[in-house]
Amino acid sequence: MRSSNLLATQSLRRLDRLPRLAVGLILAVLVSAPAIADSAMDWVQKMSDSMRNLSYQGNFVYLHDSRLEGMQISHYKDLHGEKERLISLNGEAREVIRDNQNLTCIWPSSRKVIVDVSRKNSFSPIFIPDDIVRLEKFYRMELLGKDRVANMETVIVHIKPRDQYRYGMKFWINEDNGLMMKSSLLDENGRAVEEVMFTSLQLFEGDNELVIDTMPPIDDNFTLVRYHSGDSSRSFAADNAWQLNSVPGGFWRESVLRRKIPGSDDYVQQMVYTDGLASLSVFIEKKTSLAQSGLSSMGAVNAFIRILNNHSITAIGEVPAITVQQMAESVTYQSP
Amino acid sequence: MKQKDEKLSLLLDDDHEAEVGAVLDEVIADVNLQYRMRRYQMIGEAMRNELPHAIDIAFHDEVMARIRAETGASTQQASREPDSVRPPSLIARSWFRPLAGLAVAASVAVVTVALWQPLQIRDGLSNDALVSADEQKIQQLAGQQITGGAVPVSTRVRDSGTHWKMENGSPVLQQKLNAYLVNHTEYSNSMQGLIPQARVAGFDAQQ
Amino acid sequence: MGTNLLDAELVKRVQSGDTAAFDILVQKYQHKVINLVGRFVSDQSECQDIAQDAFIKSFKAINSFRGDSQFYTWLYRIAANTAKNYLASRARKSPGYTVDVEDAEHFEGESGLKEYATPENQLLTEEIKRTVFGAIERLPEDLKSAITLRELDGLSYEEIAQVMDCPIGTVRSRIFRARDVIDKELRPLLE
Repeated sequence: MRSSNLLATQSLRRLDRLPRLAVGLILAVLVSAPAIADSAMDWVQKMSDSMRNLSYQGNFVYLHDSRLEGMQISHYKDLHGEKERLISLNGEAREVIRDNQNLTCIWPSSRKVIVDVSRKNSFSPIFIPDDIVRLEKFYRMELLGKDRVANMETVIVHIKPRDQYRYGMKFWINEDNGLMMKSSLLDENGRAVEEVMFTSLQLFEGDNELVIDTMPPIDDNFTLVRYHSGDSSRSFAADNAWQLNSVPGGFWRESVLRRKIPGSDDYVQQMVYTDGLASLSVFIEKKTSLAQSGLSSMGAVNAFIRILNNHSITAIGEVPAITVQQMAESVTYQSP
Repeated sequence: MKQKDEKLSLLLDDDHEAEVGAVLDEVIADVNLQYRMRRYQMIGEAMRNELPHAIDIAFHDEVMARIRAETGASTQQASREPDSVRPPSLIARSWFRPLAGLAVAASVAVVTVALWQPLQIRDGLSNDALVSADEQKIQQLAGQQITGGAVPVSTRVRDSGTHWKMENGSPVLQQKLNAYLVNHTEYSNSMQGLIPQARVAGFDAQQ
Repeated sequence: MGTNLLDAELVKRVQSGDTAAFDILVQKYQHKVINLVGRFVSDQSECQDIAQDAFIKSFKAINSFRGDSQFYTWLYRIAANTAKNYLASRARKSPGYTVDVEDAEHFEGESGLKEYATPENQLLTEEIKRTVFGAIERLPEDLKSAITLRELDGLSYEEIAQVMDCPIGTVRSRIFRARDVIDKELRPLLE
C-alpha cells in the first residue's frame, strides 16, 4: 500500500476509534454476496448499496476539460453512519472530511481549517430515484457488456437520455462487490465530458499495523477560518413570488430553501430541480455590481446568469447549457 | 548527459530497460547524478505530499558520517570523488531563496481558501458536537481564534475561480459560481457517482 | 513495476561491502523514514536522531536481510521499533510522563508542531512543493498526464501506455521529459 493510502487510513482511524471492523465485515458480506443481477437497473441498485455500505479506499483520476487530477477517497460505514475523506492529490494538499454532522476542510500546508455543516443527503455517492417508471420516460438503460478497470472485472451500464436536456451516463461496476470503478458523463454526442476512474481500490480490511501520516496533526499553529454555529443550515421561508413558468420535460422542483450562504451578503433563495437523475439549482439573490448575465461552464457543469427585477438569477447544474438557460429564462417574479 | 538522465528516470521507476547495474555504477561515481536522483525523488514526494514537514538536506551526510564513526568502516563517500571536488555542503544553501519566494507569494496571495471565504464570522463555538478530524484540537483552536480575513501566508498562489469558462468573468463572480456549485452539490441528490465530490474537492487544484 | 530491482541491487552491493550503495538507499528513503518517525515523536531534533539511528541499525543488520520482503518494509519495521523503543525509554526516565507504546502512533507530544522544525526547513519544504506544483501546472498536457499517472497513481509504464493510448517508449520519454522540466526549476532551490 502506498503511503498516501496509509495516510488516509491513519487519519480516519483517528477520526473515530470506535470498532467498525465487525460492522464492516458484516456489511461486506451482505453487500458483496454474489448478486443475481440481470438488468441494468439491478446493477445500478447494487452499485448504490455498495458505495454507501462498504468501507473502501482508493485512488482515482478525475478528467475534465482536458485536465487530469488525482484524488483519493476513503469511505467508512459503521453503526454510527458514514464517514468520507477525500484528498486532492494535485496542487496544494487539501482534504475534505465529511461525517454525519460536519464537513471539515483542511489545508495542511497553509494550516487552515474550516468546519461546515454536513448535509446528509449529499453523503450518498449514488442516489437511486424511486420512480423508475417515470425515469424511463426520459432515459434508456442498457447493459453494454464487460470491461476491466484497475485490473478488476466490471459490468458496463449505459444510461442514455431521450432528449437534449440531460446528459448520458456510463458506469463500470465491479462484478464482485458492486463498487463503481469508473463513471462518465456523456454529452449529446456521446462524448465523455467528465470522467472518474479508479486506478486502485480496495475494501477496508480493518486495522493496519502501522501507518505513515504525512499530513501534520492539527495544532495551535492552524487557523480556524470558519466554524459553523449550527444555524448556517437553517432555512427561512421561501419567497413564493419567484416561480418558474416552464421547465424541460421530466424536471420537477425537489426543494426550495432561503438562507444565507458564504459569498453572499443577503439571503439567497435556492430551488433544486431534478428529473430523477440529473439535477440543477436556481439561485436568486439581490443583484450586485458584479452580476453579469451569460453562460459559463466548467467541465460538465453549466451555469446561466440572468438579471431580473434587480435580482441575479443563476441556474447551475450538471446538465447541458440549453437546460440551464431555459430554466433561468423561465423564472418570473409575481408580486403578491 | 541527457542519456544518463533518462536512464536515471527509468531506474527510479524500475523500468526493465533501466540497465540497473550499469546505471547504478554511473550514479555512485557521479555526485551530480545523485543530486539529480534526489531531486527526481523529491518531485514524486512533493506530488504525493510525502515530503517531511521540514527538510534537512544534510541528513544523509550525517547518517553516513555516523556509520563511519560507529562502524569504523573505511567507507567511501557515496561518490567516489574526493571531498574536495564535491559541491559544498547543501545544508547552508538556499535558505534565503525560499524566504524571498514566500514573501512574494504572500504579498499577492489569492489563495485556495477563497472558495470557502466566509462572510459569517462567528465569535465562538456553537454547542454542536464536533466529530470531525482532531476534534479536540479544533475545539481548542475555536476557543482561541477565528479569522475570516485575507489569508496571510500561503506559498500556493491561486486564483480559485479562473477555471470557469466565461466571458469577462471576474474572480469574484467565479467564486460566487463556485459557492453556488458547492451548495448545489450539498443540497441536490445525484446519480453521478463521485464526480460531484471530485469537482468540488478539485477546485483549488486548478488554475 | 515497483522498487524491487533498484533496491535489490543496492542491498546486494551493500551486503558485499559497497557502503556507497547504502548512501543511495538513505537518500532514497530518508523522507519516508523521517515521516514515519514523526508519527511517534513530534520534536524535530529527536525525530532526526531516531531516523538516523534507524538507518544505522539497518546498515549494521543488512546482512540479515534476505529479501523475503521489500527492503523498505524491512527498514520501516526497524524505524518503527526504534521509535517505539525510544518512547518507552523516555517514559521510563520521566516519572509522570508515560506513553503506552501500543498507542504510540496516536501520541502527539505537548509541543505539537511548534518545535517540530525550524522555520527555514519548513520554508524549504514549502518552496519545493510550490516549485514542483508550479512547474507541473505549466507542463504540456501529455507530460502532465504521464507524470501524474506515474507519481500519483503509481501506474506502471505499461498501464500508462494503455490509459494514454500510446507506445510504451513514448511513456518513458514523456515521464523523463516531465521530470527534466520540473528539475530545471527545482535545481536552483537546492544548489
